[in-house]
Amino acid sequence: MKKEDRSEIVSITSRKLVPYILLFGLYLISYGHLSPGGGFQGGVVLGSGIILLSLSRGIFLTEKKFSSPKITFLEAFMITIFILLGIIGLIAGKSFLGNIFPLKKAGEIPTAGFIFLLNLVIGLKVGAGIILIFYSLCERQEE
Amino acid sequence: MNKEGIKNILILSILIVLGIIFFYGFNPNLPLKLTVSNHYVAEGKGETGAINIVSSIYLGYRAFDTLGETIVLLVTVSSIVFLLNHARKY
Repeated sequence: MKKEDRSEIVSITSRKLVPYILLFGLYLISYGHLSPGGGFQGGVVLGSGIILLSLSRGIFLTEKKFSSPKITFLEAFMITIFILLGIIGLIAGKSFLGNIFPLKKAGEIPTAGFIFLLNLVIGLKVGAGIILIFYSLCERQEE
Repeated sequence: MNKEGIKNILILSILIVLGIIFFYGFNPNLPLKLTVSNHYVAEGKGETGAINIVSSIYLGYRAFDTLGETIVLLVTVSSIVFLLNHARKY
């Protein structure tokens, strides 16, 4: 997309909006055990923020910052961390994916133990997947 | 009668037989077994530390299920990316 094709209003609005969308996605992920939301929903919000960025600023500028190999690595690495967390539970003497952290009073942020970590892993993974699908669709269009 | 008609009649008869079996096999008077769900609702907050009951079930009690779900997502994304990037070659 050339620079003249882009509307000034769309460009500025998306530039101001994207950080808040990403922040909202991180909020949904990190409060997944306390309020409605969770890893899958927050990950989709993260992915849609990056998609908005690349729709308004152009795919090339976005792919410089969030390059496709990096996102692919994130996608595959998060699954590995998920399985490693499960094996940590096995090593500690509990079941697969068993919680090893102490549980405090329910309702505080760091109480839920593994649930917060698993939400984080799932959220990053889902966001990376959405961005990857979007990138490959765009590359197909440009051929 | 042609082949299609015989096939349709076979499918219809199988559906009717299955319907009769399920109609007579279904017993609405069985006692409901709600032990597991009652336990999740009552004890889930204390055992997993999550207020959100959905989170406490799908990441606490059923985390292994969620692992499979994320692997399904991984396979889906990789197959979509593969098909879109290499579709010209095949």
